Amino acid sequence: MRGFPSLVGGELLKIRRQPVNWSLSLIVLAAVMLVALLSSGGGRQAGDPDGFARAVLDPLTVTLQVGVGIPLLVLSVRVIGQEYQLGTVRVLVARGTGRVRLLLAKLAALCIAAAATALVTGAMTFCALWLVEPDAFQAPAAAASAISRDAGLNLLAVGLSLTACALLGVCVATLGRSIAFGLGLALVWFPVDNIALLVLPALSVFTRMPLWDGVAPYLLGGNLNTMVQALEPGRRAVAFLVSPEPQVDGQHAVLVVAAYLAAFLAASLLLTWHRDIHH
Amino acid sequence: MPQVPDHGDSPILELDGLCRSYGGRMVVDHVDLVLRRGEILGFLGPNGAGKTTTIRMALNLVRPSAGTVRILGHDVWREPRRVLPRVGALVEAPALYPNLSGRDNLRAFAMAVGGARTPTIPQLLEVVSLTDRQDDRVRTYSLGMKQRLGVAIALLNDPDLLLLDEPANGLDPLGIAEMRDLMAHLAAEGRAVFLCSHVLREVEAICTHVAIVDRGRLVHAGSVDEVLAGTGEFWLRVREPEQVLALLRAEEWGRTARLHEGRLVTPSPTGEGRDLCAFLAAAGHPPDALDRFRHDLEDVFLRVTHVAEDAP
Repeated sequence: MRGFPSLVGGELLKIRRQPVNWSLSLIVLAAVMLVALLSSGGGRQAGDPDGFARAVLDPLTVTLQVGVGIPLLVLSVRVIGQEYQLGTVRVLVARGTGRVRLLLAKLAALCIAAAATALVTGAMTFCALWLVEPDAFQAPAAAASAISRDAGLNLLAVGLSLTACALLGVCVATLGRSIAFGLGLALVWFPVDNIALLVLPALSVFTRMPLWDGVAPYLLGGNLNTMVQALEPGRRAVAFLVSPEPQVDGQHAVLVVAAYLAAFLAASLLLTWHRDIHH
Repeated sequence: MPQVPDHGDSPILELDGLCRSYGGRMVVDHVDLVLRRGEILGFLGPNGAGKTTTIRMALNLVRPSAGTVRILGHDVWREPRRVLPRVGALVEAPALYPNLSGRDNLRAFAMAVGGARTPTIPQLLEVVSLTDRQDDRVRTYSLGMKQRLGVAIALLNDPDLLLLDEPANGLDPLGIAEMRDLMAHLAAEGRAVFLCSHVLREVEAICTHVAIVDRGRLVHAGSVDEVLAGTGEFWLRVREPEQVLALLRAEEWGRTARLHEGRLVTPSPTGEGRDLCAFLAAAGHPPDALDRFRHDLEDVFLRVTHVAEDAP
């Protein structure tokens, strides 16, 4: 194996052979899966048209978005920050591995790792849900097209959410060139977004400035929270812990998230390409 | 500007008017150097002289403010992917993945370099005497073992040029001797070695050429023999040095005779050692030992750098 695939293979080897990546992923995943399973049947009534979605797809989506998203965020910070912190980026670049090429290889490795984890997690959660709520899986054949549409939208929401986690982690680690800085910034990003969604309306009332209300629809966390419902108006998705949701439509949510993804990627590429490597 | 002399072969490394400034302060100031196959260049200088910045520019880690670095005839900044896989480097402390084993570290770097085949990894581990510890995590390694693994990583892909910054750091005397042998072996195979070190005796023992930088400028360069060559004098060990010194100074050819670090240094009547020996024997002071006088690299270093000026 040579060239870019070899570079991606090297990155996957580093991810695979570090036990901390496995232990962290398993702990977070197990915790989130448990909460998702417990919340799956909440408030469901017989004859609910969104029964399958509420019983299966939403817990699955939450598990993937949060359970895979948080470890992916941490992993992406570690994958970038570690190279700078250990000084190994110096060796790699000094051997002719282009800075941007290395960044793209790391992103490709993160995508592969995230996809593999999401597949395994999805299958495990699906099986667990089938054991917990076998009745929910008895959906009538007539609902098959609605279910597949719901599944597609949930998949889109999961994909955007995981991409946002990976690119956010990469961007902040590239900026700070350290794991501590990257984790500090990446892990507070979504909590700050969620708190802002609660605080901004109050701020708007107290200051009598509607400007604050106008900020909320453009926060990354809020748009990811509301993605499933925004894409399918009228459907009541399962809420996971505290996840305030701004009133936006599906197109707005996708565009805002896409803008954030483009900004994270552009910033990462620019910071990587432009800066010298001193330490 | 002094340059390492041309030996006829096409150069492996060429620094041409290399400059780097930070905030208006010149850290590397128009450095010109040429290094060819089979040469081991000792790159010396006081702390802050610009050695590491020069190495970083040669490795595409820091962008030069002016000038060029060419490796195997290609500009490093323009064609890094073409030439840098042919360069092995150990810059400052060895940079390794502590949670990976020694073998996995080599594998990870080999996959990034993209050219090293798996069978080379056991060979490299053997070269640096780490075969027995290859499965242990690097965080359990001593500094010397990490240094040796760093050298193994530098040797991945069979490089034409090795840039080594303090490779003897953390090595015990046996490890230092092995490192010296390894460098001599690599140079004998036709590679070029660019060695940055503070251990001047090691540089004197290993290197074929030296270049000394001070305050960013190249202040002295040449082959070790040229740099250390004396002025045709000899050093002597005799039983009564003061009496012999007086005897020598009484001669027209011996007026510059002197005691240097406990040894008697003097010209010869004809420029030949045997004639000096015959003169002393005839005067009743046959020497116990006699050899051509060479400068010490430390003397040369202190003479051409500002370290001597700053000394109390």
